[in-house]
Amino acid sequence: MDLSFASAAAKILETTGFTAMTPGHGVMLIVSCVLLYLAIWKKFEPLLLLPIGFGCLLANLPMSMMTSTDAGGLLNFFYQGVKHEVLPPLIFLGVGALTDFGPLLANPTTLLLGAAAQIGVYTTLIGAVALGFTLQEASAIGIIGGADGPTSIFLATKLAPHLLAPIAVAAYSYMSLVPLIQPPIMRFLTTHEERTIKMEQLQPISQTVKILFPIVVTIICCLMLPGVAPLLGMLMLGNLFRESGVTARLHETAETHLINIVTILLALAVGSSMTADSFLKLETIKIIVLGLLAFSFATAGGVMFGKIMCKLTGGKVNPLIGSAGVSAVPMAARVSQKVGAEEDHTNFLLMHAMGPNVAGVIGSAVAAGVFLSLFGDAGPETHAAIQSAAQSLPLPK
Amino acid sequence: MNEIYTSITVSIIAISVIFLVLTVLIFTIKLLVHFVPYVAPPKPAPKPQTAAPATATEEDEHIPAIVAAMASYLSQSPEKVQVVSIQPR
Repeated sequence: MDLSFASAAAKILETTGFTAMTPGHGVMLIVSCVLLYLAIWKKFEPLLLLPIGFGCLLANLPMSMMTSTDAGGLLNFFYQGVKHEVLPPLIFLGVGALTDFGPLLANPTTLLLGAAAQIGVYTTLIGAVALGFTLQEASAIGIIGGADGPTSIFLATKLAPHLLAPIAVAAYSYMSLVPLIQPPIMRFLTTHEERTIKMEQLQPISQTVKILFPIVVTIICCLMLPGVAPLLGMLMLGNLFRESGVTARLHETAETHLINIVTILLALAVGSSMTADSFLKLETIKIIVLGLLAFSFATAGGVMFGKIMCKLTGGKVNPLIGSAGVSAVPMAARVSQKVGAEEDHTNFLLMHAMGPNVAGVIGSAVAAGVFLSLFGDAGPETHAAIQSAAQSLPLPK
Repeated sequence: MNEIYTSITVSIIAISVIFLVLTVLIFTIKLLVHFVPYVAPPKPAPKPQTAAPATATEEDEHIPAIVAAMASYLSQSPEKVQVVSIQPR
């Protein structure tokens, strides 16, 4: 091979990313740096925004083969875990292993607060349809109000994969902003007297109930809404690892190493889908605005239902715990505690707020299951088609 | 307009289903708690007081730990906190 100095230099220059750089790449590199800034210096959900930001940075370096659509590229392999719905359920496995359902079991009516907070999902659904999104897209956007990143990603992948990047970024950004978004809404909707209500001590729960709970929830919910089985099944399996007391090693792995590894893969994969083509669109701005509305309405829905429960119980429920129904465990519960303690520093709402908080995780997963039942491909026709295809495959000899 | 009407219908159905599923769970939990009540573990029998009073060496280890914890709690320098004695109950 005969190469002169000039031709070699020209060839090297041609293969640098600079030659393929477009304004879109430039803007997305700035976006990635903003995400990294928010994660590192502002501490906004750094465990997720940092790898998402870096995935976005890698994906927008031209000719690096690091976007989610570059077949054979590293992040394309990671993205398969999102595309085939492997990674979000594994995150739920870790969340289940980390979650104590004790406060929820001690006061099961707080499950209703987790349901009420899903009102944000549906008001946003209507708003998104009004802004021109299809029902499937609107459902994937609305679930941002569930304040549950893995559920948002799971549903977006199923119903609106082209909107995955803005939905994931909006979901995680607003989750990190829960301490800023929720308190003004909580104070606006409640009186000083309501905020100072002290709740009764929670009753202890038998370990047998804690063990039976994940099994029973899996059977009931997955029979009622089969589409939710990957998320709720893994959540409950993780919790069974925790409560059974016979799988200490699995429990430890699920709540530490596994969830950390999967978080890295999931966040990088989401970041790699943030290309100029998929992100720099008017829809992204609409999704960001709708996501904020979803969070606000979800908080308001939880607090308003908390007020109703307060009235019905003769003032035994502090409405502030309703805002924790938006999932975002445990940050939303901490916000309830903080706002309550601002009024009366001897009022400890944290454990009471953990009930609706974990109810919110179940509630948002159920909300996703309802959307999948309505708009997904989990119906009997699809099931029959899968069965038929499986039967037509040659059996291994 | 038709799409918005559909979205409102979907929202009402969906929120009803969520409340239904979670209400079923509430009653299931109440049944579980009713049939499997919490039983407090038996209190361990009081052990005879066999431990010897803290020796000088033990006290040497305990005092710095208590001083550090107190200083951290009071947000003060450890030099400003002084533990004079430990009274075992």
